[in-house]
Amino acid sequence: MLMPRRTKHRKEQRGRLTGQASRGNEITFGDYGLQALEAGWITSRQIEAARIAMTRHAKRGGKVWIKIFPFKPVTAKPAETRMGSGKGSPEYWVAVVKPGRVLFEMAGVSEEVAAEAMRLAGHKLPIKTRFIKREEVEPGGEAGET
Amino acid sequence: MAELVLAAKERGETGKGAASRLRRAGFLPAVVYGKALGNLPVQVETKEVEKILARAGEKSLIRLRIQDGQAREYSTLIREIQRHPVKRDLVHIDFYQISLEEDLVTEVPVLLEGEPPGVKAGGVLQHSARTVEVECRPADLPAELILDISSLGLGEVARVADLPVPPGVRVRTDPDMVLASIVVPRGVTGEEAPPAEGGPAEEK
Repeated sequence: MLMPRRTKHRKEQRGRLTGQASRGNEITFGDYGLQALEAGWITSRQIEAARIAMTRHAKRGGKVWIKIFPFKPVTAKPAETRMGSGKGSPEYWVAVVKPGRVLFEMAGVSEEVAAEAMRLAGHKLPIKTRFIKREEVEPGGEAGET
Repeated sequence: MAELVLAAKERGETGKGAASRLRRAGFLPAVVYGKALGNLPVQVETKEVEKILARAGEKSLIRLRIQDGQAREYSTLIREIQRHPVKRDLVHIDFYQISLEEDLVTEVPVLLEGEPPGVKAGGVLQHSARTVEVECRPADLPAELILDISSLGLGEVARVADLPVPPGVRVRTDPDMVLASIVVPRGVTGEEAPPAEGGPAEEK
């Protein structure tokens, strides 16, 4: 599962989830993508589950890019512990995602396969998502649609 | 490349509130800048811009006709398009004023044409770089460059040097940069079509 190799601080504050993704909101590598429509924390387990769902559906064909990384540690207190005595210990890692963020990209498969793979991947995530295509100029000057 | 005409008006008010009011009224805040011009905030009709983008893409020469005050016209290229991250609505647009007598440097999209035999043999087509930097007169500026990949086998690559370029256009991107490649996925041995190293018809 994805996690940082080393961090500056072991524990982080939770922060706020406001606004939209100002970066990483376009398809950059592949032809198809899965875009977040809500803000949320995506855990490394969810990212891995979505990746497996996508690659299984594509049957090893095509290429998948994961465009988010779980940089943020989340702490938890042990079960049945009284409140107090400091912050809990780091339990898992999450990627902070804002609306508009492209989570995964895919190339080398047909649109139908990519759409179904992304649908399956979207079901592994705690937020609403949508399937998007690269906006591209077609030969002769007609632009493709999103 | 055909020149498109877009009507614009000078924009008196700037800032977030004024820009939102404009967008609600069906206009798009924009700016024109260039060597001879400095910078000038303008507004254009959102529908007209959408039409131009749908018809000619982002890399077309646009004649911007500013109507109020003294009527002026500028030859421009779109430098940047800002869209809403979720709704994909246009938010702002930058026009770069160019001189028709001087060479300009800009990015041109590269489109791939043809079905490579490497893909039929189980390879995956990777379109690595989607634009190249070109230098030319505005009149010679191509809307797109088309790369024929119908001879690419498994493991072979097409580079910038293989790109056919119209007369008057110089490509500034490194000629060795890879534009498209046929990647051999794990499990495909390449027996159907041998990879570039062993293949008789080796492409550069």
